Amino acid sequence: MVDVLVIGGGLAGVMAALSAQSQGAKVVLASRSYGATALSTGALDIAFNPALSPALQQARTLAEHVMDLIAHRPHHPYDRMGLTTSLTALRRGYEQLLQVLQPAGLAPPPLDLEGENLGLPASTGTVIPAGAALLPHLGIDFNRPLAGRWGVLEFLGETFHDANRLARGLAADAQTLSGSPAELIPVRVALGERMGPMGLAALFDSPEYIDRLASALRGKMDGLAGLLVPPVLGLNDSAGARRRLTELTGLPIVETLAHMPSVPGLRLQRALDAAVKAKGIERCGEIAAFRAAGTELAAVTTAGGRSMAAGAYVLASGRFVSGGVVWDERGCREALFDLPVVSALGAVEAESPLSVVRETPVESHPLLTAGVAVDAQLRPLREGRVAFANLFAAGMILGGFASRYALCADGVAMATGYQAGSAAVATLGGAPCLA
Amino acid sequence: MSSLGRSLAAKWILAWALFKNILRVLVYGVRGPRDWLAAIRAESLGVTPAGTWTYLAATSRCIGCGICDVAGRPGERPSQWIVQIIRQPADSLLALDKARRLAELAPAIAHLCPQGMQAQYVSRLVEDHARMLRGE
Repeated sequence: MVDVLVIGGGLAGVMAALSAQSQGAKVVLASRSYGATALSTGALDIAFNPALSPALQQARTLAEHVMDLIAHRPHHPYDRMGLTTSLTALRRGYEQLLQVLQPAGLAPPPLDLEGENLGLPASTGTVIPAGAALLPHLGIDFNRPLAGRWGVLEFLGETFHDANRLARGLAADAQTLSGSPAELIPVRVALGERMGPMGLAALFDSPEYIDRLASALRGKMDGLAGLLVPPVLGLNDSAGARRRLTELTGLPIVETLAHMPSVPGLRLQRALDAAVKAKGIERCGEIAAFRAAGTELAAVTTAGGRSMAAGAYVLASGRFVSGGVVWDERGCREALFDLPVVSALGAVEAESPLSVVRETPVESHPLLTAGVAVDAQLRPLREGRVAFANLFAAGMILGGFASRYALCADGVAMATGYQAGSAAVATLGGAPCLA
Repeated sequence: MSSLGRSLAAKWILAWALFKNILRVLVYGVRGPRDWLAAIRAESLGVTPAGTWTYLAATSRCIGCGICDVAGRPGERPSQWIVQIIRQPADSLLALDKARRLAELAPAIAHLCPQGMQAQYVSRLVEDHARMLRGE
């Protein structure tokens, strides 16, 4: 008999699994394949909402952004959990994540909820606000004046990274955000390979390739205070690659945040997988069916036909990209338990696609907020009632908030993952739960 | 032209088109897709074989995220093969080597792909079209 079965192997699912296991539960983690976590940018979005913070320069702490979301977004998971529980779960979830990231050398500094969002450089040439980021992306904060002249690295022949566009875009955003000009200049090298981000990242795992790059950079770094590199700095040993390049160039190295395909996202997913393995958490494949008994979930069956019963279940299967939410001939719904789906604007029904136009242009499309509705314990609801007394939800499967425009997806995954894991353990027989 | 005039002109164009179509059916009969299919054959475009439809759905899941590139060797871009070779069946004979490599990478791609792409079906699609183009 398993204590807690977690469905979904992304950030929220792994946070729930680690949280439940740390409280003494026997945990099994079910996942079909990589989901949206493996596509994430490298930023750790905690809380930021441009629609609620029109003056981007206005200093607001992360905790204040969480309060903003609670005050203005009635379906937001932070609102569902309440302020105190959200902030506590955020801190504990983040501490868990630091332990996950430590072995891979990706761990950022501890979370400061009284600190402000950072202004991080993205590979699209814009500055992105983020509460934190994986370590390789830290070192520049465009909300502050940039010290010295930074180089922006480009591999000649590659089409996914244009240093000139990046330098101009970041300089314009930096001027707006910090009120000071930022000096960024393209630094171009030709190493002959043309293979896209994943292939280049694999090459960076080899010290010989970094030596070749450092040789090509010689004479091009005079007067530079640092080097901004594309998000390709190693797949398996990014910490080693960054260290070696720093030693050879004598400059601080910062990776831009990625767009898809995302090397940093893959690193994060691999660090999560490694943590699950290191903790001895059993894994199984895709869950294809379930069996209910009264008001509780009794068992689930994997796609391979294996039946598994657990005391409690955590649903962390993501939204459309990860397959947790689907829209098929039966309408828009949660894919496994057939739970109804809500958006920030209300219920999503098959015959009534929601309006694509919102009151303010920075608001996201309503369908990007589609997911299950939950109670304060994060238990999914069906027709206003708890669907199963021993089923909890975490991460993007929760509906009513947008990940991109509220910039809180990682914070929600950490906080609700931690909290759902705790709540699942609490239903097993008296273990303490945060709420 | 007034709005009434524009409306009448549009209605006249639609009515004339309808009349021409009815007249053509009366004179020549219903011809079906025969000529159209013949034109396609002359272009070597081919028609999707009947059995292929059963696994077409599994090949249309790609969201273009590119994460499957990590399954290949440096320099290989399976994400680009997936979106390119299933959209140009007429070039199936040229894409056979890529299709066979995709079949080798299919288990690794299934593990990585958020959409559960079954890349072996892309390979089968290309091989089916290639066989048809060879007249087998």
